Amino acid sequence: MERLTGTVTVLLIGSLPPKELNRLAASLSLQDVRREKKGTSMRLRAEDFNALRHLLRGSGLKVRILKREGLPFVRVMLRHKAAFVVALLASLLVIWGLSQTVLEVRVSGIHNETMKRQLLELMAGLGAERGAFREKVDPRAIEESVLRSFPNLTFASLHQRGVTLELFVVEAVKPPEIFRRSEPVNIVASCEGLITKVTVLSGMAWVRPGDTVRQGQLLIQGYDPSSGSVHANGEVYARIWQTGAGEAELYETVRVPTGRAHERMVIRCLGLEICLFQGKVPFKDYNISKEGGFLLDGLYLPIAWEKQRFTEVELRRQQREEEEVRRQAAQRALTDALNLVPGGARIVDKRLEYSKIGEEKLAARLTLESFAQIGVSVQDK
Amino acid sequence: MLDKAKIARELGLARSVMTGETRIHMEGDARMIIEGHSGLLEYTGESIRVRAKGMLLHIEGEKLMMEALTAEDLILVGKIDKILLLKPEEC
Repeated sequence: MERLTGTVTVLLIGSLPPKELNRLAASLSLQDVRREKKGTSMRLRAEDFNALRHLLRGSGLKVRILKREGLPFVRVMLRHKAAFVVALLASLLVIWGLSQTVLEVRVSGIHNETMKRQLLELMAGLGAERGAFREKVDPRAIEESVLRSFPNLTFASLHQRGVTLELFVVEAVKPPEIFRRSEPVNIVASCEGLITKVTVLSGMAWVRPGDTVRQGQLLIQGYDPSSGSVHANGEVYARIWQTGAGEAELYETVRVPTGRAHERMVIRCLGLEICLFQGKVPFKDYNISKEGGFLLDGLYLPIAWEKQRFTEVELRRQQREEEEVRRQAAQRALTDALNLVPGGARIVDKRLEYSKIGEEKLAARLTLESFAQIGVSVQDK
Repeated sequence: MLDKAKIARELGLARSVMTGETRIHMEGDARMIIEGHSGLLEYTGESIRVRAKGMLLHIEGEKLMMEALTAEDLILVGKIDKILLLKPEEC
């Protein structure tokens, strides 16, 4: 309440005897009364100030105003600073406008970039785009439209979080492939190998254990002498060999810190990046570490700050340990070979060979021997 | 003659309501509220003398300040070290 009515802190210069203080207290409400070197200071309501001067008339005390607080004085101050008031109001208006505007639209829940783009385009068509007025966005209508337009989505939810619109979607799980008995299908080899076991449930086997087959070769034909075309069904196991290759550098470039460092502060807003202090990095080669966040957690203002620390490094070329190079090349070859091995295969043997490529690289070649079911169904043409 | 203190006790009222005596509240040694005083007699940053009904209140301390002062009430803050209740004849 005092803030609304205003208070004045005054210093009464001179000797203020208790009797005089009692006289003032009888008429006014005095606060924070204390003895100072030059006199007595006290705080009173702004409206009582004139009464105080009147009561002190003839007492020989001088009144000095130390502080004015409260709304009445702010109003007087603002009356003389019209430009400041206009700028303040304009700033508040801009901040309010920004807080009511959509400044970012996101899609989460899926990893397919093409679908994300399509969803963003659809949302933009429905008014949910950057720059739109938040109140104009109808989440329910957008969610329904998304589910109608993308049958492979089972769930869509649009959240408004400050100036950010986030669409969360869930993709439908595809049903398993249906086995159609009536459809004529052959079983062919998915890779070349040496047949070890053939089990036919329907159709006619074209290979026997001990045969070698090439990729795509017919293994079980979808044909039965009694009933004609059938859906071939069965399993063909074979011993297969897959070869993977990998390389590793014999030399490496290491980054050795020199001990020199440089820091700068970056402010980001709506795609703009502003370096606040010492923007140019004085090093040719450097490591960078970043630390930052959003102002007000990005809730109402899309302004991010980032403190960047650049540590100068010197690039030095040095030979790597041979054991480590071999291990890395072998690991890469193994990864490459495993990509070629069909799922469910049982690896029974491996052979690893190394060779140098010039002076710079070491190559590894890994051959995996495994047992696997190599038959895959293909439509009979 | 009516014994106001006895009436107040019988009615379960605060004694000062009937007798008009000064009430003193303390909050540790940092704040003191005096209700119903009759005026200041002396005031410095180290001591204060207040006239109360039938006695004088002498308070000593450090950095004493009157947080509020009206014709009847006084709120004193600071570090209060000593309080003396003096009869008028002792002053």
